[in-house]
Amino acid sequence: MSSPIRKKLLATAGAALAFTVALTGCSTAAPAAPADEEVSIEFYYPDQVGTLGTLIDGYLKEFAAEHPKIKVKGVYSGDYDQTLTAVNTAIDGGKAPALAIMDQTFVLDLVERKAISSWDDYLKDDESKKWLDGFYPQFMKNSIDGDGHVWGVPFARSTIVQYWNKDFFTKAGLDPEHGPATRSELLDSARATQEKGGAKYGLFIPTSTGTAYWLYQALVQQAGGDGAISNADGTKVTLDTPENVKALEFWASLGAEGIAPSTEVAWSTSTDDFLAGQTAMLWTTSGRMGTIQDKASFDWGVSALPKDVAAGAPTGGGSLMLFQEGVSDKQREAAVTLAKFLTTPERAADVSVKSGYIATSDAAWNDPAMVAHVKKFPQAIAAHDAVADAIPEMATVDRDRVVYQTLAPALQSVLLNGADAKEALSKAQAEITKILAEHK
Amino acid sequence: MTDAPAVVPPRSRWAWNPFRLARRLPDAGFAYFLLLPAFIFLALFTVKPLIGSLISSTQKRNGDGFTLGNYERLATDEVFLRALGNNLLFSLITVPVSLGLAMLLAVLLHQNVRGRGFLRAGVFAPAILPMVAVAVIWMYFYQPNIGVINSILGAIGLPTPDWLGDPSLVLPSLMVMMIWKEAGFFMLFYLAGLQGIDPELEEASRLEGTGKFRHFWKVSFPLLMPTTLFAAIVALSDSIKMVDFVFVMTQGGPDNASNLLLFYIYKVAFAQHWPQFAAAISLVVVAVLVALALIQIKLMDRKIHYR
Repeated sequence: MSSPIRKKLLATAGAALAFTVALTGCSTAAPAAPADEEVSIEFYYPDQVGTLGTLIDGYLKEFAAEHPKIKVKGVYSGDYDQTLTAVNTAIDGGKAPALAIMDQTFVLDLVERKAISSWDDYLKDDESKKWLDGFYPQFMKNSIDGDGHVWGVPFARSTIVQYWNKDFFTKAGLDPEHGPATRSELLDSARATQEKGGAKYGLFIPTSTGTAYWLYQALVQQAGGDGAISNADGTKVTLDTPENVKALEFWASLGAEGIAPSTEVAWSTSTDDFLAGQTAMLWTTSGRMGTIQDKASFDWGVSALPKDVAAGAPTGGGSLMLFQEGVSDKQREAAVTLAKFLTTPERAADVSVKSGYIATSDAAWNDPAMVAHVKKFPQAIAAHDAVADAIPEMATVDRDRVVYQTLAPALQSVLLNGADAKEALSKAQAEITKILAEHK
Repeated sequence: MTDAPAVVPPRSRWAWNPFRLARRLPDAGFAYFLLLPAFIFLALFTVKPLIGSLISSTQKRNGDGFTLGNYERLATDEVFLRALGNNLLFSLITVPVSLGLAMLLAVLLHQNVRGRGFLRAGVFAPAILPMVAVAVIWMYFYQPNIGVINSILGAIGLPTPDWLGDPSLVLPSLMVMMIWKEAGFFMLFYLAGLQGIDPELEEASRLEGTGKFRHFWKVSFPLLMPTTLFAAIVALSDSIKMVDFVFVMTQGGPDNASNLLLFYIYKVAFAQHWPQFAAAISLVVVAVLVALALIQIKLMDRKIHYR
């Protein structure tokens, strides 16, 4: 190669190198050392419904004004599953966020991996005890383990409720002000709305992979079984009882009899289908109430799910959790301060009014803003009523494999492919027992 | 460093200067010197992770000890086998169909037809769209009640299936979308290939009275073989690595009917937090891909007319 070309190449490379060095120099010089008494923490928050992110941004601004010494870096982290991924990556990188809102069912896996700290150390004084005792016990069940350690504090909570289209009820000659209260009323209403009311379908119970187990829990509870499905330590599941089989057979019968589609009822689009008048009734999260209120072009009602042998539905939603990896005691204390700030009754009421999540304590329901909201919008009380019979959400160790990879396909094979309910559940029971045995 | 290096520095003081040394290297050595940055990045971002995966794949879930259990598990892991089967079917159908369609479109649009530029742009458009955008668009095409496809089918009185909600229809539905996206992309390569063929050959065929189809089959098709080999390898790796649409459209469901390998690897590595098993699956997938590419090259090499 000729010398002039080499010279040019080398000069370019040298310039590039010099430029890189200059850039690196700038970036390392930038961050200023924080003052001694200041503490800075990271806080990851997901948003499943589209309204929570803005709310939390606002709360963080208020917090900054009230606690100038605590610098909070709020990180929006997608939905619950993406938040878990983000936190896992941060833990592997040696620097977890001090505080994060996580799906309540992630507790067991995170405890097993020693990723989160218990709240026990921060709940010793009376004020803190009062704070924690204020939450509805139904919302604490997924956060307290068999030994009484507290791992999560409820933030955005929900449960399953039924919505109905009053237009279809009126046309079918049913009472539009009251939804079905029992299983037989449920089936009669569904058929009547289809035959006389002109509804294409009577009842949607979403069958998507991500939420099938959740709706199935409600059906098992109503059939008289143990709707929690898993034990408190998440080391054992019960899927092969007659009540479990009965619940799944009932669910499959909806598709077979044309009350619901025999193909997948997608979780994400089922609310749109209800709003478009495709179905007279819909079972879904109370968190969708805000969307339905905004978009429905017809009158609609909402109430707790109808009972069969028993009544009840699982809770769902997020908890505030304290992480360990790379977090100092001082940072953890700051995180606890932030958590208490985010869960005061006034803010719980504000979250509920603006997003549709269920206010987490009696104090929040009695908050003036909440009382005014219920007066203006009486349907909101349905979520409160549903909490009375709420059961814990199914949670096990190795949850993704147990719930999404094993249970969901088993349910779908019966609902969509016509497999035998008893066989599918026994097979899932055996597979899950095997997975859980790896964790003993 | 900011003053330009190696222009004419004094000999004695700058004898260690790598830029000066480089100027005195023999040509081959200088070439390697220039490749050095590329090698560093290749080692850092490809070789090191590969070795890391290899080591990780032989560890237990808690990260210690040596085990081949992760590989043994592959043979009995139902979801892996399902994803493997789905992916093989997906690749075996989308790759040849995309390439065939791409070649057909290229031959048609190589001719002097009216609005050729517009048509070419139209066919190529899907290839420029990001996969996630394509997935969102097609999700609305396939929506069972208000979707475009079912609206048309319903209007002419045909059944309106739930394309993504029916376990037997979901994979074919995704294949159609993949072919739509890929065909336009590979058409571009075939157009370039066709333009590289000497027009005298077509002239000769015309003078000899050879039919158009015969000319394509005996002249263009063999001369396009190098393009086909290249496109086939790219299409195969695309069919395994492009899984964005699974995240957007189906999450692998219903009943794992649309679970593909890379989606499953993501699930195992991140949602289940089991990087060791995910590494084992990844290495098997890489091995299969390399093997398939080698077979493709061997098989097709014999039939290729390089000029």
